[in-house]
Amino acid sequence: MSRAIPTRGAFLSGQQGSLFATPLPRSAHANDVSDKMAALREHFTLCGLLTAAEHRTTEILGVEAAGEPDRVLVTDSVQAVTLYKVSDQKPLGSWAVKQGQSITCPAVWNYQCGEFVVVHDDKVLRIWREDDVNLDTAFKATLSADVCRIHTLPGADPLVLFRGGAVHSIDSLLAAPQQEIESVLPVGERIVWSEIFADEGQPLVVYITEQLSDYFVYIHQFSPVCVCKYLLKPNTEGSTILDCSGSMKSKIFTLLTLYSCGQVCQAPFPVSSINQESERVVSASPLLQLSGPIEGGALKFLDESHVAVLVPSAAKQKDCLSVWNTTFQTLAAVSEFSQKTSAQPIVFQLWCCGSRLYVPHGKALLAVPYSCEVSCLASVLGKSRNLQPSVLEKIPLVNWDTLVGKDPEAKQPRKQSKERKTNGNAGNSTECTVYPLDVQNIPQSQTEALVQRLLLGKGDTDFQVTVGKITQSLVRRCMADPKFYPQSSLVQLVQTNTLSYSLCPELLPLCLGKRDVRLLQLCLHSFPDVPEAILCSCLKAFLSVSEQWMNAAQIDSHSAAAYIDVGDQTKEPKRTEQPEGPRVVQNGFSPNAQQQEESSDELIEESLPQTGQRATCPMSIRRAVLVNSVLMSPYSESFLLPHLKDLSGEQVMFLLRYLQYLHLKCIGNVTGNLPGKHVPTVSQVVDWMSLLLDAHFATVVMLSDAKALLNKIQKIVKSQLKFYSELNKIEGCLAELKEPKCPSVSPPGRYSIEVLQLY
Amino acid sequence: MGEFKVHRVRFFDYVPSGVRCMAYAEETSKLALARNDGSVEVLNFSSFYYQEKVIPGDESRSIESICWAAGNRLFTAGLNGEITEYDLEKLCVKYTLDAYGGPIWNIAANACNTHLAVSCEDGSVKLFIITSDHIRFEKNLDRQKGRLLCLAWHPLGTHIVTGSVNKIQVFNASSGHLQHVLKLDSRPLAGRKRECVVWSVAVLSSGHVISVDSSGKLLLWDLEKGTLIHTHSVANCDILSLAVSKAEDSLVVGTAEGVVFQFEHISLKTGESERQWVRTKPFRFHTHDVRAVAHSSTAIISGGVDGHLVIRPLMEKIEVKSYEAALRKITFPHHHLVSCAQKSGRLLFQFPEHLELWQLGKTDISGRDGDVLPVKKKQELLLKLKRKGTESIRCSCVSHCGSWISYTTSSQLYLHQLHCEKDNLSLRRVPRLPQLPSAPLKLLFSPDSKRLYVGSEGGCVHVLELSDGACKLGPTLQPPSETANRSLSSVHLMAVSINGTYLAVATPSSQIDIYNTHIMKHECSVPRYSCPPSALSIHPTTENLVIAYADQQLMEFNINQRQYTEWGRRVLKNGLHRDWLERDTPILGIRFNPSRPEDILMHDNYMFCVLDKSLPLPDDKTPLFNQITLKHLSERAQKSQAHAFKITKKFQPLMFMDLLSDGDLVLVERPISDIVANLPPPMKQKKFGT
Repeated sequence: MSRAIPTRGAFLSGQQGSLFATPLPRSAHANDVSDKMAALREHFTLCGLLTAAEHRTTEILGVEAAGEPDRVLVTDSVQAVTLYKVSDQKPLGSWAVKQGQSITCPAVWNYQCGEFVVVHDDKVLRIWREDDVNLDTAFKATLSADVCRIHTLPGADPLVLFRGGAVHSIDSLLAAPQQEIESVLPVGERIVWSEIFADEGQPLVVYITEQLSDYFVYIHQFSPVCVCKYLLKPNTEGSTILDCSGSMKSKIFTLLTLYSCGQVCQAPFPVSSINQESERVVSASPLLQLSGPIEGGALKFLDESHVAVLVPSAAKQKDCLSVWNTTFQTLAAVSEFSQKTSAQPIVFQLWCCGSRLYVPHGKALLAVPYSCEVSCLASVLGKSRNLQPSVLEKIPLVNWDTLVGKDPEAKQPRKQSKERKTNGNAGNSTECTVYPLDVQNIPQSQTEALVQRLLLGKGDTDFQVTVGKITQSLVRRCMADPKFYPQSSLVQLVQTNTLSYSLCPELLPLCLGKRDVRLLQLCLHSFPDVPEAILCSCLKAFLSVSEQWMNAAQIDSHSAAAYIDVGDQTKEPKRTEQPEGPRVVQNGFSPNAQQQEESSDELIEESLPQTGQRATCPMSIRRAVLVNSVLMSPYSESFLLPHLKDLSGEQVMFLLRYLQYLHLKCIGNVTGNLPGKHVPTVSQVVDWMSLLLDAHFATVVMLSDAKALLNKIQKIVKSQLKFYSELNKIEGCLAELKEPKCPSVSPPGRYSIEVLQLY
Repeated sequence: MGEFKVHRVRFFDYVPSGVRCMAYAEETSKLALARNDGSVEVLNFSSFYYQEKVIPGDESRSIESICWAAGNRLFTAGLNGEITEYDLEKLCVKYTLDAYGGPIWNIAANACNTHLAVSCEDGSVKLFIITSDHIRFEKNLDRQKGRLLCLAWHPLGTHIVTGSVNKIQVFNASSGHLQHVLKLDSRPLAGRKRECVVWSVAVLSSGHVISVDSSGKLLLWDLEKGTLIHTHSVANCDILSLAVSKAEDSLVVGTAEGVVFQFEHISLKTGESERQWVRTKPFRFHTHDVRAVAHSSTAIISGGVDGHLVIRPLMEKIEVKSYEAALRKITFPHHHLVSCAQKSGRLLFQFPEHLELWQLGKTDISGRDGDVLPVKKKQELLLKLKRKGTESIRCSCVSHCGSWISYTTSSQLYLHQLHCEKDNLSLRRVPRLPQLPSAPLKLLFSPDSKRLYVGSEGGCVHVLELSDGACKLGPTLQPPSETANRSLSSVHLMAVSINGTYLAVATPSSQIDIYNTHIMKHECSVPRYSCPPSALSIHPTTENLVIAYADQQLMEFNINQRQYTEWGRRVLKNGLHRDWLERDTPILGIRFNPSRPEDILMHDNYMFCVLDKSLPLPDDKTPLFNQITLKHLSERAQKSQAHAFKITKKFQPLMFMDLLSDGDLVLVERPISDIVANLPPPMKQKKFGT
């Protein structure tokens, strides 16, 4: 169907996730320490979890980095905050709150001043150093609003996220602890997840809120302060978000969500410093399909192409920690833990610190070291299984990330194209990856400029991919927003001839919906793989679209001008007076043709070459050009036939008349073909005629006005049959001529007397 | 110049009888082959595959198996239950001996030539002691149920292995007891009961038994343990024949599809001592069942229902890439089956069971080269003469005038006189022919039709004097006593000079004697050559004897001077053209053109040649076949380019050539396609695209 696009597999990975992810076997085992691109090493227990009096295991609130690579800060609900040296599996220090107090927010490490920060009883902020022994004596500040989380990042002040959605830096809070904290969130919305990211050194807090069953994504930026709100539309209706994770790259925040239907979805969010007044809808596209619906699970983004997922596996009675390669939809590593036996509600938690994943499991907090390498196709296919890493590095492998535009390291070709672009369009430093998002956001007036900019990079290796992506996102936006329809941009994109139907299957239905005949025609011209159903819908649209509409569309009609008399069009305007629909067809019914039908039969037979002059085109030239584009499209009879049956009787008659007119023009020409370029060949015309008659014979026979036409067609066929049978008769005589009359060639019989001369 | 009206005769419906079995004797390099009609032929591989001996068949004798024993003794056995030994001097059956075991399927001699073993329909294997001039029954081996279709001796003579339906039996040859029964896989396949017929077995000195069967498999067994070692699936059809080379490093099997496969015993890796039988080469030279295969040290020999004998040299076994290295396909006999009455324009065709006399057609128009002249009078079958008795016709001859016909079977000579009164033709057998001292082998009428020369064994020729309706035995012409090679001394070629003075008699031992028939005396002998002569003729005017030998050498012998002629010496000295020497079939006939005494007309199966002695002999640098080039040259250029050999390949395959008295040339062709049309349909094979 489609042209071979090298990157298509990866490109469409979002849609095909469900296809690939589920049946994959475990390709690596937890204790399989190898040089694979992603691997989970042997896990170890970082600490045991104490069992509280009510037979409840300690709940871990958080595992946070603690300044040094090998140290983590574990906050639990009983022992409070413990600092561990992970490689030694040894606590370095432990701090607890007083009886009656409870920690409500995991402790974090303030990179700026090397202090720990924790919140207990929702409002009380405690700040202490490692050498402080007692938490009670530590610095204390009581805030005016409930704190949700404190987020820290190296090189930035810790940020405090309040339950109300406000985000403040800790310094500003400490300066005036009792200051009024405004509430950003509407009543009923509650934060379910939050995280801090760094974008070009600027911290960014993203949090997700839940209201009833709707999820909203807030992106809180600083300098300048700006909050964007998006409604996250789940891919599957009715499934809830179990866990989220995300990544930030090149001003795009990618949110990964684990849904209760067992899907990992991804949604991109542009990070722009423009304050939006209205919320926008972002739909999540599936990235991975894990096994069926799950009741709990956790998700962690590891790197550009890897994601760690902790889900229960019902079949195995085990919890599975797996690392998936999202680029290739492959399972990279799996580690299994026997399922918890306790009756407590299962809470799946997963943290990632340094190069270790932390999973509370049973009565212990497990640390699972992992490693991810840049994935390449060869390693995914297992080609590099036996190679040493050093060897692998030397082999020049195609980095698919480069083509797909995900790998941050591989910017080489793009930089070049960027330079090229800047030549033409100064000040433009946008990268290809940004286009789809830009397209999602920018106003219609700017799309054309954007597309034009894109088309400058025609020589790029990923040009086709980019065009496909842009078209896809444009089409998607058009579908989401009925007012948005950048026709000229789409025309430009289609005219690159790099698109195919399978690359953007929604484009043609969109055009059909918009009745954009020009774009439809262009698509039919350049797409090699239009399905028969769509082809038929196009044909229907072309046959029924009103003349006014057609005139409005810029259709290049001079390809048909050679054989359609422009004068004929004077008959067409009648059609325009009437609204589109089946009634239109009656206008194709030219009285002239009727007269002709009534004329005597032998006249037709005799005047075959002359009928070309008499015949008038039943269609306007514009409509003819449109219909021609359908006639010239490749199709498969058996698939087309059922769809052809959808045409109404009038449409069939109208088309048949036109086809017959074309046929007359064809046989009237010496070469047997229509003059000019981009015109249907005689065999295409005849094939369509036969197909149409095949599909609608029963109807056509019943139509009274069809009789004359059928009669005419039958007469043509008859006369041609006669002609060919006469030719066949001549063939024998001609073959005789071909055979040399030389007697010596004829095979000698049983006896002959011949003359032989030897020299 | 050399212009002929050619009577192109294609109505001789000769069909070679299918090859049934073969035996190759490495020591003598002779191949004995028996055909379906019961005839036996001996080909001498050392004399350019010349068909030295032909023993005509007999309806009562069907041959299933043939073997050499004790050097040069030839035995056959067949479905009539008799073992036959042949007299290769007299070219007839020496004796037959009933084995009393029903039809005999196979006969084999042990390596030391002391015993013959036959496997019979009744399940018995019978051993015969080979005595100096006979064979004597010795004993029966343990009798089995069912027919034993094939048999093989262990090279040391210790065991005899037989094959039957679904089984292979191993006997101890000295005790006669059954040692093993090797059972073949006869499980029903696809619901059908399967019978696996072991068509052939062989025993190697390594103690391995090789069998081929109707399921298309070649099986390798251990003789001592009686276990199957290896199975090779060779074909989807029957494997009918098997032969192992003397060195046991190569074997060949023939299938019902007409394909011959070679297996070689080779090590799979170089330097490895362990060897395996590996199928190496397929050969597809036959269209029909390959009933018989043989393996010489340098070639694979195969024959089958289609009547062709194919000798495929194994290139790796041949050191000098020469004449020997060429593939040979022998379809036609190396002697004439046609004789011609030059004066009356009649042809006598010899079939195994009957003779046909045809009157050639006529034309009175002449034309240019290549023209087909309108036939004014069509050819006509004058008579069809059925042989008497069960023996096939060995030789036949029609007199120059066309009124005498003579033929001979293995034992009996027949003479018929033909009376032609207006359109009425009557045939009268000459009664009470004189008893000949020895069996007739070759017949020739004198040009005046007054004598019939009957060539016989020992190089002697009996002369029968013919008078109207009667026949009288004249003197017997005998070669001088020093004739050495008795086994090859039966007359196979005779030629008489046109005036009847000289009679040349040749035997395959290359002994050529010339007799003066006026005085009935031995005139002289031609110096012996290393190869058997394949054709000879005496020039009508110069009375020089021209001889063609099986190695393609040509000699001209002056009878009067009793020495080679000047031209003949020149030919010997210069040597013949390489292309001439590399032709595959021997010269079968030599004639002279009275109107052009310098010309010698010759033919083999694939060419007709006029040798113009007045022209220079070609050297190896000039092309031998230059007729097409010459045709397009001017007359002067033709003269400068022409050489002695004027060859046309337009007519082939040629079986006979003669020159009628009126100067017309008669060429008898037998197109292969006509032969194929007369064969039974070959096994149907699915071919791609059909």
